[in-house]
Amino acid sequence: MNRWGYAVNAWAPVRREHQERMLKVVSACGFGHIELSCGSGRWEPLGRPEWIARNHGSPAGFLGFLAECGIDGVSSFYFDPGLLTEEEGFIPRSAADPGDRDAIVATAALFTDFLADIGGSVVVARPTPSQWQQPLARPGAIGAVARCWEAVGAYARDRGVTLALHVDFLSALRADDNLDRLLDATDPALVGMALDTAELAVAALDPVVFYRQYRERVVHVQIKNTRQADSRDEYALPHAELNLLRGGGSYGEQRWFHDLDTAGGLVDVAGFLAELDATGYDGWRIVESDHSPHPAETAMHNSWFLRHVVGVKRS
Amino acid sequence: MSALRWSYMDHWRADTPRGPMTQYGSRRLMDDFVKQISAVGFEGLDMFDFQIYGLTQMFGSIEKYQEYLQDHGITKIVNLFRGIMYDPRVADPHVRETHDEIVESTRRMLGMWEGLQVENLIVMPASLYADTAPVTKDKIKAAAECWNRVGEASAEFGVRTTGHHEFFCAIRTEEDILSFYEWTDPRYVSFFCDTAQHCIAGVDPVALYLKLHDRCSGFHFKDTREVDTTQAFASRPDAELMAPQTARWFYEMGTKGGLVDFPRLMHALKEHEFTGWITVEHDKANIGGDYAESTALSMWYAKHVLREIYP
Repeated sequence: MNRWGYAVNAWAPVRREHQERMLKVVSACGFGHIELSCGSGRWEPLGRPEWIARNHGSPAGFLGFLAECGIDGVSSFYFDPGLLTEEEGFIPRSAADPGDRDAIVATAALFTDFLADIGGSVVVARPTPSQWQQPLARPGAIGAVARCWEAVGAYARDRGVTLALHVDFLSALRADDNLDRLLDATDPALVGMALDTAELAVAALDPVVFYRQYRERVVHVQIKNTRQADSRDEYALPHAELNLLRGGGSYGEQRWFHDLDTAGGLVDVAGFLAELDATGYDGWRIVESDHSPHPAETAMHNSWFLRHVVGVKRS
Repeated sequence: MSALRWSYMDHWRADTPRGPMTQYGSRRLMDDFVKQISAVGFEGLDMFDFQIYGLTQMFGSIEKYQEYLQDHGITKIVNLFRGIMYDPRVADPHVRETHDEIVESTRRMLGMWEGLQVENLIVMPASLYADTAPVTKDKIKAAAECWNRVGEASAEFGVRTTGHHEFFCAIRTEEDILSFYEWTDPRYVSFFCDTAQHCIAGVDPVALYLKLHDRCSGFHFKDTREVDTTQAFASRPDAELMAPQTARWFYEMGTKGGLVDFPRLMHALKEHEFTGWITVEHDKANIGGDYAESTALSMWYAKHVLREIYP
């Protein structure tokens, strides 16, 4: 039985009743698990284990809350050590900097422990800062990144959790042969990869081809669509988060990510899922409403597409 | 096999780049709408009868539209809501001289839908309270005569005529509602229980269902947080959107502070072995909310709370 979940990164619920509404929408769309994303402060009450505990008492309390909303559990937690958070003193960290390793491992452990306590299975991590920041330019940087994530992966493995590195379209791993070098430098038993269909398509990579090439390392899948590739490599220009991801770059994209069956979508979602089925992929398949101005509508569209076009059975 | 199936009463609006629009605005908006209601588990669709004009333009015929719905997971168009602008000079149930027009216009409308197997023609059985007052026994009897005739005509099309009592409708109190059903022919006139409308009018919808269960042909399951305590029902020009008491009367099932006791109602349905379609509605959900979210939340409540009581 394939494992399906829904990433709730497009919602921003603060009040408990808004969390409830979000979770019930996801449940009504037939998804039994959710993927959480890291955040900061009391305004993002599902963004860190500490805030989940303050809002819901304990991991068990949170599970009870999820169950009341028809959600069976948490599949995974996305963690970006470069995110500015008040809990980390607003210090962005990079795995390429050996001096940041211990702090990254310690913070990743928070998410890992939470997942272990709650029955989740994958910590999804942003492996490096963006390419425009040139995090891998320094000699030995790939080795530092590898050691950092191996340490995180080892801790996770001991807790029964899998580490999946998520390569987004701004990533320094998109450039040159950085990804291959990192994979060669890491132990597959400790460091896996999260494949995000739309991030790859924006990076002008075919998700099916990518999956075939890195199948042995792909342990987690996130599914969304896009209509525009960054064909002019604007990800490498300064402040790409501001100018490209949020500003749309010279392409004028107001949002990069779209519903699974969006008109003009670059990702053949049905074809990609067929490839997963054909190769016996057994990890999570996480669907997203990322960038949608109406996350509920997008979740409903995506649910319909999966059920009626792809033939996925409802949970 | 479940005894109950779930239909969706359309009041849909979507935010679009050109502002709020209904799904009748374009084929793309229609695709979006149908996929969303199907995604969360609805199998039927209720709508206003006059939508046939736009749908015929969009799909060629109403039969083609239903085929399109079926291709997207919606089995059928279940119920129609009769759209009549009541006017005592032309068509008003308490004005006997206008009954011929009501019967004939309904017959014309049902003729356009003849190719489908519509189950109920839902009607507001009297005009606005403010346009009818004082409500007398004779006026209720006149309305009963009207709908007996309409019901007899609709039966020729295989469609039941069924009364839906808005809180601002002239037949709104429990006493008047019961009188209306006493004076109508059970063969031709059924009762359609709108949970929120009765609640707003200060009538317990469960108690009313228990009294009229043998006449009941369907439901609008929606909730409210307010009983009309300001005689809004009598206000002109409109009680539904312009009442000073509240800008929004209706909410989706499961809303916090909701006044409708849906679990108790489901127990009553189970006790009386109601089978068939239940229609979910959340009229005016776009006031401080949105239709997509309310639709998903309603179905969540149906699946996780109500089905536990009566699968």
